[in-house]
Amino acid sequence: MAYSPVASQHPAPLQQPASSVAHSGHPDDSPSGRLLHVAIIGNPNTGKSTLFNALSGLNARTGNYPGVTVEKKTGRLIWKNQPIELIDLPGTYSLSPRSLDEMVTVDILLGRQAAQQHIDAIICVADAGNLERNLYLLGQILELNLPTILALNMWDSAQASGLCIDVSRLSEKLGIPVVPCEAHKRRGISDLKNAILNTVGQTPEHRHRPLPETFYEILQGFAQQLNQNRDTPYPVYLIERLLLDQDGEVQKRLLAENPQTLPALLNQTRQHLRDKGFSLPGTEASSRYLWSSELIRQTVKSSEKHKASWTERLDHFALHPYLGPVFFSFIMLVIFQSIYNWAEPLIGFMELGQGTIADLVSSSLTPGPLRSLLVDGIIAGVGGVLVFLPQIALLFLFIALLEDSGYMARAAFMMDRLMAGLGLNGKSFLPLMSSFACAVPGIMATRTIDNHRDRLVTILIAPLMSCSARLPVYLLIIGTLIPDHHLVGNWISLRGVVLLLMNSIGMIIAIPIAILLKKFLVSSDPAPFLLELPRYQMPSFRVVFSRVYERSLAFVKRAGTLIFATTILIWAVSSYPGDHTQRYAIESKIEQLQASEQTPAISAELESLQAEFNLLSSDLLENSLIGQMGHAIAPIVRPLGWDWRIGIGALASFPAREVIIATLGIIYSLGGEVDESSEGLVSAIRTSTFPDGTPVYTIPTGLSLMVFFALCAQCVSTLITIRRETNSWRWPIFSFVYMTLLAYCAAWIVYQVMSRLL
Amino acid sequence: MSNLSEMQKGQLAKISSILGDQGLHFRLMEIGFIPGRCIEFLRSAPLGDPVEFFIEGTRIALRRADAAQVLVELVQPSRG
Repeated sequence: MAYSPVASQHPAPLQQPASSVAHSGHPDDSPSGRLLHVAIIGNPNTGKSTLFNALSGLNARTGNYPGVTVEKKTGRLIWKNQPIELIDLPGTYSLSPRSLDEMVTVDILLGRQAAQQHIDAIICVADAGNLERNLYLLGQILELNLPTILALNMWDSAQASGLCIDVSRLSEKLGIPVVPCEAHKRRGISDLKNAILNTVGQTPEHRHRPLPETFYEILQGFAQQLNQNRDTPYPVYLIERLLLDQDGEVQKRLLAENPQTLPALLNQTRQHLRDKGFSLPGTEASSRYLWSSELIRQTVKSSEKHKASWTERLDHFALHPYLGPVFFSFIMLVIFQSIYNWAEPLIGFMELGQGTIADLVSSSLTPGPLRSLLVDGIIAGVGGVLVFLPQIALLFLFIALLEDSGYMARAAFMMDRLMAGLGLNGKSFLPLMSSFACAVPGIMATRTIDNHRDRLVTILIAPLMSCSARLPVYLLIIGTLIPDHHLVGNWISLRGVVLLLMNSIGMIIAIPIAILLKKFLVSSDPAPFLLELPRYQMPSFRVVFSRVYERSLAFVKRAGTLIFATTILIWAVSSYPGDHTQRYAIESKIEQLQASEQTPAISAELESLQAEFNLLSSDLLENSLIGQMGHAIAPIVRPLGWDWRIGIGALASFPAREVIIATLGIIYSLGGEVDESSEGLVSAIRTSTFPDGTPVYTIPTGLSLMVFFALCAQCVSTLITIRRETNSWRWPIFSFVYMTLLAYCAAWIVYQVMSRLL
Repeated sequence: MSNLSEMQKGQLAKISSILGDQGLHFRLMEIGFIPGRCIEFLRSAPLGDPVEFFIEGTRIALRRADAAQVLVELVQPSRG
């Protein structure tokens, strides 16, 4: 056996791509300037996405394929004047689709996906350190008979673990170019780009037929019968899947397309296979593994170093029965500490920026509808969402670090038993945990959950976790209404207990909700829980940075579009109908006085003008559309212990829950610039009464208001993220409806029970 | 004959056959659970379930219920 001396003795410099394919001309005079479509596919944990980023830089665009939750990720690059579009396909162990989502990959590769160009070349990314299993997928790809390149990623760690791969021999055996690379370190990337240009138009040198010859004979006869009366014949690979994958997605689709002829024909053909000693699914897997292990035997030499690997030593500690959970809790603690401590100054910075822009606009425009729209509507609304960006970006950062280092899978492994109790799996833990800071990154982190049903249920319960935007509401109500009692001899503060209860109520209610959703709503998907624990690796700065950048950008873009529109809508319904002329006049006058020299007389005048302004603002809000709605729903919210003012507050805070504080500020004629510790707001709340003179804010009302805020879907960002992640309006609408109903019922029960008890 | 969920830490076994429904069977075979291959029990999770195995250079965790569907022949006694 000839081993490549370059590969075995000098680990650092990468080999030139070995290609057994005859090159047709120089890359510079490639077929034409036509855009080439290149698909990237590979097993999970092979660094496929890192390679995609290394090839396309930060020019990735994401979207969804119609009708499924698969993310469509494409990137553009130009290499030697040739424009190339890369399509990043979801990580998969095989091309045997067992769900609609997995079917997308097969459709794209076969050029059957609507609105998707024909594929010019496939890059199959494999973990060089774990080639045998990766060859299973490659074997299926080779049967598509498309131009294919094998990228041997993580070349460095394969060498470090004592593996020596004879690249040119492997390339010769496979009949396709094989390119070693290290996507993390950006090594071998140009080789891969060259290989793309050289491979386009060149199908594999020999047909790959790893299954017993009788299978191909039967397949051919079956394909002829199936295709004989069709204008566009089914591709042979699709028919192969139809035969091999019992109850698979191809079978479902093709039976639906040929309900008359196919069922009998399919059963008869499968029986024929069984008669020939073929077992489904056994023979395919064992034939393919026979092929790959033989190939490995001929091309890879291993020096048995990888048993006592770093990963094994680290796992001994990280997955230890006692130390493992302790270490995990410590990591969670660090993450949450930093989100609350590090994000604080950044949030202050964002608020400062928002204030500066608002001041700039205010100073260049006279008070009027346009200024009000810009300052009170758009800047306040979009700013109110963007203020969460530092926190969200920090969470994205931690999630990316956990994912890239390989620890994420360990967390899922340790938490699986706990989550199985909810009918979910271990991979749901981190998204739900993140949702305690903010549901947006939590929902985006569910992408690692490969079971469709578990992912959907996780997305639907994530907004129930108590996020940081609920905190100001709890603090205001608790500080105002809950007496500062201490229980158990000064050890426990009643306010602290109530705060803890409010922070946990969503999580507690999420348990039965998850079980119900799983049982009744989300169609079942029999995928077993299979978790690969990848080798640990040092997170790469580039990978982590690009992931944080991409996800944050996606959030900002959303804030810029639909959230922007919602903001304007809420501004309009809280401003109109109403004649704001007088209010604007007072505002101008206040600003003039503020600009002039401050004498005691002027200060006094300013104060009275400010009071008049606040009173007018309160009147205008009460008479606006949202104010009228608040009055209209007063009978509905009365059983919750609320008056119309709280009703308006709740309505106005549907786009973003923390808005209630500013809204209450305006409605109590205190102006919109109040916060949860404002003395004025606290005293206004304490003295507020119903028309009959009884106080509005009692302990039961406070509790019912907090419970409502704990359970309600008052966050446009979250709903839009759900829309984006599930690729349908059905789920955000469902979330909104179920959470609103849940919040109303729970608030009603709390008020009714507590007002009888207290 | 025993199954994967009955193995002890450090034990090695040879896979003899896979029971269970089509979905499980397919997925396990695709990632290399092929009769005749060697598999090592690495550890169970701190809460007892799932369990982690080493097979053909990969670490794979399965729930005990699924692991019980994979029949094996022990090739080495437990290290104690």
